[in-house]
Amino acid sequence: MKKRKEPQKKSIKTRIITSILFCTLTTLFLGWYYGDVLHIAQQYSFFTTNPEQMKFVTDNSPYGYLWLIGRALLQPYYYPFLGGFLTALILTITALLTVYTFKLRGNNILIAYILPLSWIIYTVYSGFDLYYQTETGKILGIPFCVLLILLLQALFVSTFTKRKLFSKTFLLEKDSTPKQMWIRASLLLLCFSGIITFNELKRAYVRPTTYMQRCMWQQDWDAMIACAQECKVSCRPIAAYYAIALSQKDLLNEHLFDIQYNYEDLYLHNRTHHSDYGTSMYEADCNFYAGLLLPANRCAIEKITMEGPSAYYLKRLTLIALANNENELCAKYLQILETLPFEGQFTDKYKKILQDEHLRNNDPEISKVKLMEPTYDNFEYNFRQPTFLGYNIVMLEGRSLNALKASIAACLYTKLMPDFLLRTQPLIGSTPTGSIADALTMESTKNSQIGKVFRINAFARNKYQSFLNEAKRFMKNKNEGQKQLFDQYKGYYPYYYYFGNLPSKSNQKINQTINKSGVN
Amino acid sequence: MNKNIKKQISGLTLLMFLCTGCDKQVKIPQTYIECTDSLYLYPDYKNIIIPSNIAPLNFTIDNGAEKYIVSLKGQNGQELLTESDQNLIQFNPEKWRELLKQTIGTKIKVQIYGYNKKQWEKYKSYSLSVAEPIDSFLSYRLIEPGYELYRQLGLYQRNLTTFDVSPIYENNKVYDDNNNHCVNCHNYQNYQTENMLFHVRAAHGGTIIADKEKIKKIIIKHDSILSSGVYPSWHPNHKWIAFSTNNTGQVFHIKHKEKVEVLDLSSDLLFYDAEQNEVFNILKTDNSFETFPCWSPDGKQLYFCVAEPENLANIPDSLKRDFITKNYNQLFYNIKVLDFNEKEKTFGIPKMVVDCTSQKKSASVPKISPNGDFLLYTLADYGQFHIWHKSADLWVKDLKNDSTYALTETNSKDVDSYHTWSSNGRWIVFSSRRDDGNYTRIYLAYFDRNGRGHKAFLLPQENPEENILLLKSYNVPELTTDALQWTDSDFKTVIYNDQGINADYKGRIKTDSEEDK
Repeated sequence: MKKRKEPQKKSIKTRIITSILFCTLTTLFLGWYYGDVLHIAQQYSFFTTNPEQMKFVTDNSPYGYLWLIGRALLQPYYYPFLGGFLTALILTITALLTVYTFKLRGNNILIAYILPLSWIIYTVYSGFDLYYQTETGKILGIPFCVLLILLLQALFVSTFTKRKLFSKTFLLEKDSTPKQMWIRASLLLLCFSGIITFNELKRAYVRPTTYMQRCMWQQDWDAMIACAQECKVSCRPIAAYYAIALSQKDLLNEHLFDIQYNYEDLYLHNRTHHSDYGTSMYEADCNFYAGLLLPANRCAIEKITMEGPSAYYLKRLTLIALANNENELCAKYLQILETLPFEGQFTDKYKKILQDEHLRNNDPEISKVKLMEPTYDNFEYNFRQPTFLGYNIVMLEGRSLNALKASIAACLYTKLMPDFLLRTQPLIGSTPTGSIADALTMESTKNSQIGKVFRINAFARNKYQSFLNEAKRFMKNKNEGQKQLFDQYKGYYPYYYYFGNLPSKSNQKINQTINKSGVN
Repeated sequence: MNKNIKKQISGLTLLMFLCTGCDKQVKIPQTYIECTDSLYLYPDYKNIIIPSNIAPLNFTIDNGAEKYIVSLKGQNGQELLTESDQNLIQFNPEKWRELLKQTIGTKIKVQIYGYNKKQWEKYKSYSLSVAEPIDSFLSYRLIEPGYELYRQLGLYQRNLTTFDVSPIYENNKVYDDNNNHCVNCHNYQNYQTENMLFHVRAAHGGTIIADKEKIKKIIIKHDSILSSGVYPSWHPNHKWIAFSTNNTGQVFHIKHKEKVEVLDLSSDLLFYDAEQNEVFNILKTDNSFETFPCWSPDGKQLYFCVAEPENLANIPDSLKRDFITKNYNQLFYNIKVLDFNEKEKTFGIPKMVVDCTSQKKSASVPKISPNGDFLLYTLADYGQFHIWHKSADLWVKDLKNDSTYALTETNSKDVDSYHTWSSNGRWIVFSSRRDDGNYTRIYLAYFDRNGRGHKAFLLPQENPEENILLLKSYNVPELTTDALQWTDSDFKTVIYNDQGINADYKGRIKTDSEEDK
């Protein structure tokens, strides 16, 4: 009988070391690098211990209870490091059980990490698809199911063989040489590096978007602005959240055009598996911060109708109800949110605000929103969609200077210069700054009246002239001009006017999801 | 064999109940202080009239006490006591039922004690008046108030004497482009389930008509019919159904007390003979909108709502939609009636019953009391889709003396609409947004012999908190005396597998209407 080959003399307890390394790398990856994405996935993933409230998961899906467990396991991602660590444990135990069950040794131990790494790769590859219009319970429900199967298999092996699962010898068994250990460690590092590289190249917009969403709930507008400005990629969700942050900081005029507006196609699919712009991802948020409380309510309710409740949209609905003085409705949403595991801070804060009118009137977020509310009614269908943009480009009567600035920003964004000029009338006599001044300078070259009513200085005229001189050579190739001139002219409105928001050359076929029955 | 198993299970259940389920001996505190604080009950069940067969009116108390004792005492000394360490008060269903049985026609005094700061407090008592029973079964639809989008929804049947709920029909639970469909407008003949219907929209669409023998899918479509049948009303004596057929649209406000306007851009009335599978137009008009048909209990009259917008006749068809949308708050619906000759199957001339236009008001959902004495309807400032109108209130016309009045005790400051009568005429059930302004809940109210509506109360739930935690609206409440015999899967088989039978369009039914002349 062939004698089993013993590990080398210098063999070390590498099984546990590889596991610790994998667990650490996974925790760092999921908790730190990808934490915001999984945090937003958690926010989309409604979970309470009340079975009645979870019936939409348990009763409506063929694997409802598994997805319920998956949703439960996703909850710790409210604190991404906690979630990352727990997921890392699941994945590490999965790998260890694979080693045990299939008696893997030496470099073959790496086979055990194929499943856990596949899950991480799938998670990153999915990007927004991980949680957008899909069952969020699958994210960790499937790894949990795999773990359960392996555990049962391992218990079976442990029961009917001499190899004991819960023994020191299994974890500390000498099974590799130091060289093999280094190979494993290097390969694991290489895998994680590869995953990060892929994400930075192909899904570069996912982390910034989710980071900005998370910051939005913390009202960290500065962090949102910094993130969008530092971001190397241009996409609609990032632009939307950037505009929200600027509007809350009253900086729309100063910084709206500091970022690129040539949107990349998103890897994003709706529930019918067709490509999607993802407008519904930020529509409710944008409508809310644009003061359009009823359109925001419609969007948020539609999200809940189509995808079931989520902490994200229940919180949005809470704020809408609060801003709209629907106190009983606000209390209802807070009561539902109270049944969720990690929303205590939010509910405590807004319960106090709900009960105290003084606090409500002085809440900086709500009061800014109320400054933007329309002064007159109209129907949504009368505006270009999305409403937060369509309303602002036709709005002629606002309740505050903030509303006027938002309207001017919308006209500049959509390059509707006559509408922009119309909205500058209240500013006549003042010295406009930022993008308004830049746009007025640009328009003054076409309309001499502008120079008579606004003070446009020589420096501004010279800057515009020098821009035109530089831009001339790119007029036939605007895409090139957009790249070449960005560093020099970012934030300068004429640059945006000529080279920003260019018509997409994408062939991406977009099918917005609708499932309308007429009237319910 | 099965019976034996059932018996064994019943025996075991009884044994378990005897061992574990016996009520703890609850004693009324002997020493307490009188508390003048208001009682914060949810739902508000204070001083209401209740049906003698209603399920326990469980509630929560938010007065901050550590524990509560609730005493329900009948006038003849019958008493039901319950205690709770939390704020949820739940009554033993058997004892509740027994108490109500013994107190029909009298009052129950409810006394609540709260243990607070190491002493008992006695709150101000209130009463429950026990009146005639209500029909045992309530059908309704559960759907998110999601305007035009829908996903999972269903029709359900609740036993009002218990907390049992069973699905009548639920649509596809998993999103599927080929199978997504909506269900609405369930309706029964004469408060019984023998003949009933509901509509299926989108995939597998049609009108589902069930009698005691068969479920059929009917397709009511024809060039001369605006759309399919919408709001139904069964004729009391025959398998005939009056439908409205509506071309409906909706628009969303950006700054308004209402969130949405649902508008009919046109609507007519249909008559469907389920025996012959024939459909007729009753009223087919270009410039007036007829909707919400309702047969009188004797089947000799058909009530309906109609709006006749001024100047509509002068507007070109291409601009009508825009005109109606812009003038949405100038659409006023009156209630009219057509006499009906059962033998000849002919209708008379429309006659005004409630003139709302002259008051710049608008009526919808006319429903005649079972004895034919009262017309219950919803009145609001404009339009017909009053479930989204905060001004919507329940009104009554006393058909004996032609007086009209609001049910002020029953109504709330928010939407009160989509009502139905109980078969004995003593109860009205309706949907209301009074709880939070957004999610409709079902309310019940006593309607006395003098035509007065009393304080409405929320449909009782085993745990009242469910009303708050549920993110769906209840709509179209319909009462029946018996439970539907067909199951969800019976309906599913027909809906998914049956292509549907086209109804024969037979033109306009004979009328003596002015237009015909």
